[in-house]
Parts: sequence; structure tokens; C-alpha cells
Amino acid sequence: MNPASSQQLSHFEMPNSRRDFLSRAGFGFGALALQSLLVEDGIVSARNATAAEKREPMAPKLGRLPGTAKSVIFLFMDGGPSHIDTFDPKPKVNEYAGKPLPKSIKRVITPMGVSENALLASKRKWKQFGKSGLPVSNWYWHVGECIDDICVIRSCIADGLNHVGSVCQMNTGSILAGRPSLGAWVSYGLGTENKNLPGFVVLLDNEKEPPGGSRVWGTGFMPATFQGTRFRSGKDPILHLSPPSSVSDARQRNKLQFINKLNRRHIATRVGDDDLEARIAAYELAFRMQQHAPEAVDLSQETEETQYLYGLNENKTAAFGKNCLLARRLVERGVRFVQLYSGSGSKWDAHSKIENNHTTYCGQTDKPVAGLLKDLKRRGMLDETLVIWGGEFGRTPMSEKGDGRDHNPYGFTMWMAGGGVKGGKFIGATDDFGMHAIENRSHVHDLHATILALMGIDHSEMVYQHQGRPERATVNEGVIIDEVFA
Amino acid sequence: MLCNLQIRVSRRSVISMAAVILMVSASDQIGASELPFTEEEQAFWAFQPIRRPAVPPVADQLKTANPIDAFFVRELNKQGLEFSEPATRRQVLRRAKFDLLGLPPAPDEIERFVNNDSPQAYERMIDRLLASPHYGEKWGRQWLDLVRYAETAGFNADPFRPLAYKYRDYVIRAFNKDTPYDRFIQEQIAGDELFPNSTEALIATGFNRMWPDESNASNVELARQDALNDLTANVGAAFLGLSIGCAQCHDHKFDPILQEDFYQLQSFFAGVVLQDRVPIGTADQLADYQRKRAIWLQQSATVRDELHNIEQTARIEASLIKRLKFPKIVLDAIDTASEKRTALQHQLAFWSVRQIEVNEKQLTSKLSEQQKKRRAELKQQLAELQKRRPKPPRFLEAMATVAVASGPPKTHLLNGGSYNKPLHELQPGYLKIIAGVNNLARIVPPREGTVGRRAILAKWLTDSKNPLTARVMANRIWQGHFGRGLVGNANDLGVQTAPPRHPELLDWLASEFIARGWSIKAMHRLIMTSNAYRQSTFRVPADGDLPKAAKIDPANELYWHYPRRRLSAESIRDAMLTIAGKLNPKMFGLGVKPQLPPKFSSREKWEVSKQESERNRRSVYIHAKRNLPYPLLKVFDFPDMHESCAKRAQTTVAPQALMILNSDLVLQFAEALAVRLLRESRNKDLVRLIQQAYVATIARMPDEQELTMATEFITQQQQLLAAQKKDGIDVKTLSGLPESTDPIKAMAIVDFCHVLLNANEFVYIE
Repeated sequence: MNPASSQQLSHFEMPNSRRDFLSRAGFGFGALALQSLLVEDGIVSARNATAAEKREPMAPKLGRLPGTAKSVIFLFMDGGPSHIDTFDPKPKVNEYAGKPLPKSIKRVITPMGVSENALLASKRKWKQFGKSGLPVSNWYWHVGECIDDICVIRSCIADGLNHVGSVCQMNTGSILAGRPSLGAWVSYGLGTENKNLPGFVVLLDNEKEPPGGSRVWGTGFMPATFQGTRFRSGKDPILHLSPPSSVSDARQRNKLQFINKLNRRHIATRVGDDDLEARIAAYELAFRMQQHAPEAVDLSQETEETQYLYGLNENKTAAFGKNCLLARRLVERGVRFVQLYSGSGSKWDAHSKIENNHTTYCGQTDKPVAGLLKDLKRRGMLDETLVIWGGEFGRTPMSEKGDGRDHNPYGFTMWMAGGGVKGGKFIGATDDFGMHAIENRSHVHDLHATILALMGIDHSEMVYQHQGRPERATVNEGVIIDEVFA
Repeated sequence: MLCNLQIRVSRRSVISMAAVILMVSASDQIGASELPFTEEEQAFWAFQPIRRPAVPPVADQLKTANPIDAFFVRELNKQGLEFSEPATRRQVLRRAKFDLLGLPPAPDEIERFVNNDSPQAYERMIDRLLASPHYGEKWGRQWLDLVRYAETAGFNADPFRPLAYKYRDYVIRAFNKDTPYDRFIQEQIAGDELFPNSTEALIATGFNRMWPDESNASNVELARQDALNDLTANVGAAFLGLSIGCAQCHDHKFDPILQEDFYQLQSFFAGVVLQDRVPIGTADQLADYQRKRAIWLQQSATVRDELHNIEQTARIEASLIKRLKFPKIVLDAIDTASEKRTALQHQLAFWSVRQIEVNEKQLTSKLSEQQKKRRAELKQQLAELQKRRPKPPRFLEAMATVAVASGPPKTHLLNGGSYNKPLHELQPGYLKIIAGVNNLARIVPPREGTVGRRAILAKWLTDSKNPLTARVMANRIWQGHFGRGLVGNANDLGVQTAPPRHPELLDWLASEFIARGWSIKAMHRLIMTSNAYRQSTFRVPADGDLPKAAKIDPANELYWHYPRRRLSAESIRDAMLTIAGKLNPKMFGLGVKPQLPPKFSSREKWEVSKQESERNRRSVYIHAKRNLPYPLLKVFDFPDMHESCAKRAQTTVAPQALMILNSDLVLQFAEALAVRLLRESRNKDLVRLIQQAYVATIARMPDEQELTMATEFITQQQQLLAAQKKDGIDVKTLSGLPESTDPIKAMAIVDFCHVLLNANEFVYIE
């Protein structure tokens, strides 16, 4: 009821005091699961002119779709993996190797101006996997074993040419900074299922952040509540999770108790002030997180067999494997959205020596990603966990510097698995050279709309009011790719 | 496109229908009725002229301190309600000081104010605060939120803008000087055109350059268009309180703003030339300088041209590969000598030249021996010529915009907002919903060598007849005092925002604002001397009954109590620094870099300021890095620096608790406070120390029970510290303690101080 903030999250303004308090607390990281409460109460699914809606006509209408994914694990190959060397074989590229693209293929702008360059042959071996017989190159043969669970979208397109804009778009829908990331939208729309952990977690495979830095998992114009939390390596994954080592547990506990005592005394004459209540709750939650987060990241609880499945026993695969295993543990504990960066800091950006580059990074990810899919499946979690693989764009068939490939946002591959996705299938196609998407072109907005739909969210109905404008995750665009659904 | 879900007759088809009607009626008079807007849109409250309403008569004059109260008392009386009791002196002092300065009251300041019997004590306190230089640091920051101020450009490289801080300092000074708001707007939009001999006004034009920018944009024309779009949207949000940015790609879906309006507004800015070194002087001096400069340019042309030609060929050769990424229009801009560039070429060069820079070594490597020799000769000649080169009275280094007489490039309506899909050309014009169909600006250059587009826009914005400008700012000032505006969204007075609950009060304030010469400080004084502002917050004990007012008006729409508010991010940090006795009150200058949490980012550069005193400056002086907002501020809802922020979010989340509870930085504040208190009490009187800690943090004395609780807590912590030591965890030794202080007791007092910094009562204003 505190009026000072009754407009803070006015798009979620609730008449009831308890809910008011919950909404004030937000429902992203470190907050309470307001949204699920509301769904239980039938408010979100049957929002027919509730009191709140009368007061706030643009309150979000999530419009539940029958999606089955509860969580997302987004495997981001930072820098742009080559689609024509992994999941989209193009024999014509090798046929034309050493020659430029035939005149029939429309010329494009690339950052390094390679449009007239000769094509670079792909040295890959291809094998058909599973019942579906989809081809996968020898850079990803472990993943190939899971192909019947994978839906390969070969006709992705994006707007950016450079890394910062394109990574930004793959995360936020726009090549310009300032919009919330997809994970933030999902946190906003669905809240978290584990109130002791953040709802949106980011894991990097090295210290370097991706282009654009932490705002790639930021909230832009939304409250910070919904932002991604970067888990750090070690026992304390969350910033400031524990007091400095000079403060003993007993001292810290007694301090917390005393803070609580003072705050309770303070609120005793201010009953009904939801902000004050929320802040008391935030301290309790901080304390609980301190207990729960270290357990969530404790990989020693996993069997050796599981650790090996993710490649933890090999130097090459250990870093990304750990993150994959961590992602499974987080999802298991109700985290909504986990984003994993491979080669964080544009390391997949193979302008030259693509053989070395991709051998390294595919090598680092192949076994862990396959391990993740297999592990999720055998635990019965795959149906509810959407796994996405891809980068901010693909790479050109043209050669750069004789042994590399330039950026290609005009046609590239992403794949999805689990979470209600139809496996063993490919969608769309690029031309004979993998230059342009020509069939079933799927813009980033379409991918986002589809991801949201798989989570049961109608992208056209999930709205956030910002500066008088109803904002949507897909920047008011996006068409759901129906063929993805099982 | 979902944008089109709302089916409506396109505005342009309305226009053409209007045109048909016009032909039929054979009238050449175009009036408001032919606007492509519905009657309802035209009647919308925010677009109506500001009419000064009569102050409602109130039977009981005692209830009103000034006319603001009369508007509320009338409404409250209708419900049988009244204002709450006045807040206590301590409360109102703490409230006022955080409101105006963003700082906590000092213990002796509290003492003096509480014991001041003068009937004018309150008013004098307000005046004293308004005169403080720290006022501009608080209210200037609110303006910086609106213009998305940053000291870096954003995007991947997020490069430093070394002169941006001058704009921040200008804003602080402008608020401190109480620069009339109309002048404040004029300086920012058109300072160069209107006030050429004011350095402040030139610095102010940094407003036009606050957009995020990709330093190595390969599509320069797109980068230019993005910057102009961003600027146009910001002008709409900051000055007009309208979401004009929505009309970039299509007519506004909700408000009567046409896509044409967007680009007509943009065309006022189409010719801005971005310059970091600007000649300054009086209008006459500058005119004289420009004349002499023109003559000098003519006299030196042969030498300069030949030199340019020699170097240009080499430069092109040395940057051949880099040049591949640019189209001809951009390369032409690059290759044109600076003095000869058109406004558009200046703009295109701004983005591109820095990307293909060639150093002396690379340049000379492409010159033949003969060329080298000739170049040396020419340089020699030029050096001679330079001696006679006319100088303006002075140069100013600032992130400024200037107008060039050559005139601005054309502005077109852009199909779907795409820079490369121009439709018909547009002329500078005002929003039709306000200006009517005949919305074209009559542009008269205010002085020689300028275009005058921005000047005329600034005049229109600050015309007292503009229905939005004064309303928008009056609403922002109100919001700064009550935590919410009379209109809920201070950046959008359009139809998407609920109309004001107290429209007459808003209009009265807006007209008063203009009548008082657009003085922002006068508005503070007016608002803060109202009973509405001075009343207490809502308090109800656990066993007490909910008062009638809380049942009738739980949202406090009638202002029957003062809303309790959380401190802003900056105030939380600044208050902790103040209380710790560490705040460095130094004003202005380059942003400073206090410590980051350990291993916070390996990507972004952040060289921590070497001197502790620099790290302890007020938060408004912290380096504003778009890709790395300072974490302690960010967690408490410091806004994203890419977009205008009309009102901070106010979230309550666990990471905030973790930050204050566990960060080394806050612990150090608690330690400094404890050391200070121990020194002041000479380590003798624990009761007195506890009392002082209370007064320092929450501006009041503890009661008996609180004293007992605190004493007990300190005793418990001493025991726990002793146990900790026994277990082999060292107890930190504090420096600066008075002699013979027990380190364990000192650390127990640190814990107590730390608890107070975590208390709700510290973070909230009554």
C-alpha cells in the first residue's frame, strides 16, 4: 500500500496488499515467485477485467500457449560458428573452391569485404546420424549421436554485420543496446521456480565477457530484477554471496538477526508497508541463497560417470563441460534460463585459420553438448528443457585471408532440442553455397518468438509498458516457426 | 507486424480525405479541424493551453500553507479527510536534505534545527539547502538521467569521451545558479546559435551529442541516422514529455504524432556539426574572426591545396584496405578538406575519418622522394602562413555542436524508418497536434554564420504558450519531492499514461512556474513549504485500526500522507560516505573510479583512482561508463545509460542486501564510522556512542529499549569475536583507533555500525 512505489511496477499492480508486496519485491533474481502465485490464483490465465486491469489496461497478458519447456539452456558460440562446416553441408562450395560465387548469387556486404573472394573448400567429413539420417560434420560427431532429438534450422537470418550488434540482437532482438535480453523477458514473464537462486544465470567459459559485456544479459529499460546473473567459478558463484573471510559465520548470523530485529521493530508501527516488508524478505532470501547457491554449483555431488559424460576428465572439454553440467543442475533446481558462452569474447571468430579455430572450439563443445543432451534425456528432463545451439551469425563460403571465413548474417544455422521440439528434422535451407537463406527464412525475431512459444508465452501478448509504448520481446515482430513443434 | 494489430484508418488517408474536403469547400484556410486527428485526440488534456485555475477557496485557512494545499484540501474535504499530522522536525529535516542535496543531515545541524524557535526556521532551512552547491549534484543528476548522460560512447569498444564531463558539470552549475528553465533548454539545444559568447551555453550543446555511438561503424550513413533518431526521441522525451520516438517508423500508434512530425522535428538537427574545439567570443568578434578567416583561407589556398593533394594521394594509398568498407559518399567526405566540407560531409567524416587514420610513417612511406621534398617546402610555407592566421578571442574544448553556414542536408520522410528508403523531403516543423496544420518553422538565422534551425526550435519549446514544456517540468519537480509525478509517467504525457489525478494543481504549478520566471528553485520552495509536503508518513501500529483514509484512499491519491521513500542509489552511497566521515566534497572534473568488487570484469577497463579521497567523491562524479555502470549504484536501480530515464525503478532484491551486507566497500564505511565514533567518544561512554551512531545514520536518538538491544548486541559480538579469534580467524585491527582501545570491542562496534547501515530506517526517508 505504500503509495510512493505503487507505480513502480504499475504494469503488475495488484489490488491486494500481499500481492502488492510480492510484486514490489519483483520476481526475478532474488525475488519471490509472484507470477506462479498469480497463475495459481488464475489471475494471469483468466485475466478478465480484474481490478488491476481496470486500473492498468496494459497489464501483461501472457496468453499461455501449450508450450512444454520450463527452462532454456542457450549454448552461445560467441563469434559465429561456420554453419557450412557443421550442420549445413554444401558440396557446391568445394566444387567452386578457388573461384568466386557464381553471378547468380546476390552479392552482399561483409565486414571485411570478401564478397568477390574465391570460395574456401570445407575440409569436413560428413556422416548421417540416427533414424533421421541428418548429416553432421566430423566437428560435431558426438552431437550427431543426438540428432534425432535435434531440430536444425538452416535458414536463420540476422541484421547485424559486426559482433557487438549481432550478439546484442541474438540476445535482445535489436542490434542497438538498450533492450532487455530474452532471458530477462522470460524472467519477467514466468518468474523463477526456485526462490533461492536467480531465475536467469549466465556462465562463461573464460574470464572474457562477450561483446557488449554484461548488458548482453541486462534488462535495458526493465527493472534490474530481471537481469541475468553471471555465475563465477568457485564456491561463491554470486557476487558478495559470502562475507569476507574475516567475519565468522556466528558473527554474520548474529548481525543478520539483529538487522531483522531492528527492521521488525521499525515496521511494527508501519504495518502494511510492503516496501519495508519486501526488504526484510530480501535479507532472509540473501541468507538462504548463501546456503543454497554453493550446493547448486557443487559438481562433486555428481558421479564420475556423469562427469565423464560431459568431458570433465579431459582438459579440452573440462571448462565447457563443467558449465554444461552446471546448467543441468541449475535447471534441475528451477532456474528458468541458463546461457552458456563458448569462446566468450568472440573466440569463434575465424577470419583466418578456421581449421585451427573451429577444431579447437568445436572440440571444446562437442562432447559436453552431447553429454548434456544425453543426460537430460536419461533423467527425463529433456521434454521440459529447451536446448539451443548457435552464434550471432554464421560464416561465408568465401575465403578470407586464404584460410578463414567472414561473418554471414544472411543465412546461418541454429538448432534446438528438447522442450517440445520435433527432433531429427531440419527446417529451411540456404542456397547451394550457404550464402543466403532461401527457404523458410527465420529472422532472429522469429527464433525468439518460437523460443517463447515453446515456453508457453505468446510473444505478441507479453507486453512491458515503457515510456508509453507497449514493448515486446520481439520488437513487435516475429512469427512462430510452427515446424519446430513436435 | 504487431504494430499494426490496432486497426485504424491510416493518418495519411485522413489527410488525403481532408484535402478532398478542402477542394470541395474551395477554402484555402487550413485550420485545426483539418488536422488528421480525431476530435478526441485534439481535445486531449496535455495539448490544451495551460490555463491558470483559480485557487479553490478553503474554509479553514489554517489547513493551507499555500495554494498547493487548497487544491488538496478541497478534495480531501469531499471525502471527510484531512492531511496527516506534521512530520517531526528531525523527520522533515532528513527528508528535505535528502530531497534537495541527496545527503544526510549532520548531528549538529539536527541539533540546531530542532532547537530553533524562530517561526521562520523551516523556511530558512529550505533556503539554506537551496543555496548549497550540493543541490546541483542531486537535481542535476535527475537531469542527467533524462539525457542518458555517459562519459563513454557505448557499443563494443565503449570508448571514452574525455570532454563529456563538462556537460555534467554544466548541468550541476545550471541547477545551482537556478538558470531559468527556458534558458536552460535554449542553451542545450541551440547554445551555439543563441549565445555564442557564453562558454556555458556551448558546453550545454553537449546535450545534442549524448547518443550512444559505435566508434567503428561500418555503415556510416546508418550511424548518422541512428544518432539523429536518438536525439529526436530524446528531445521529445526530455522537453515535451512525449514518446515521439515511436513515430520513427510509422505514425504513433496511440498519440497524435505523425511519422512526418518525427522527421520534421529531426530536421531542426539535421545540420548539427560535432566539434570538440570551438572558437568563442562575442557575436561581433566571431563575425570578424570568420571574415578574416575566410580571407586567410583564400590567401593560403594554393599552398594548402597542393599540400592536401600530395598527402591525400598517399593517405588513400596507405588506407586502401580500410577504405573498402565505405561507399563513395563517405569516401568523398573523408577526402574533402575540413574547411570545404558540407554539414553532411562533416557528419559522415565524424564517424569515418577516425577509422582510417594514417600515421606519419605510413603516410611518408607512400610518398616519392620528390613528393617528400615538395611536401617539406609546402609545410614550411604553411608554417609561415599560419603565423598570420587570424585567431578568435578564445577556443573552448568541449563536446559541442555548431552550425555551419553552408546549410543543413535535406531531411526526408523515411519509409519504415530506413535510412536508405527516403520518401519526400520535409522542412523543419513543429508537432501538428500543437502547431496546427501550418506547422512549418519560420527560420531566421540569429546571427551570421549560423542556420538558426535549432534556435527557433528552442524558442518554440520555451514559448510560454507551449502546452507541454512547463507542465512536463512542473511534473518532474513534483515527482522529485513526492516520488511520483502528478502524471504517472514523466516522459509520456500522451494517451498511454493515465491523465493527472489533480489536473488543476498541475496547471496551476505550470503557470506558476512560468510566472516565477521558470525558476526551479522557486518551485522547490513553493512545494516544500506546503503542508502536503510537511505532513508525516503513514504509520499504523500492529494492533491499531486502519484509519479511515487508508480505507478510502489506500493509494494516497489524495495526498493525505507523505509517501515513505527509499533513498536513491547515489544517496545510499553518498550517505554512507558522509556518515563514515569520508566524503570528499570536491566538485566537478573528470569522472572518478572507486573500487569495483574483486574480479568484477576482465573485459572493461576500469583503472581505480589512485587517491582514496578521489574514490570518495560524490556518486554523481563516478565515471559514467555505459558498459560498466558502477555496481553499487546499479544494484540500487541506477538507470541504463542508453535511454532516457524519467523515473528510476525502485526494486527490492536480494543482491542489494548482499551488496550492503558483504561487500568490502560497505564494511570499510562501517569501520570508518566506528573509528570516528570511538575517537569522538574517546572510547569511554558506550551509551553515548550508540546514541551518536543512531543520530549519524537515522537522525534520531535510540529509545531505552533500543539502547539495551544495542548494548547487548555489542556484548554478544565481542563474545563471538573472541570465539572467532580462538578458532584461528584473525580479528582485523583497525587503524586510527584511540589508544588502549580493545580491538575486539572496536570490531564489535563496527558490526553494530554495519547493522545500522543495513537497517530499513537508514535506507528509507520518513
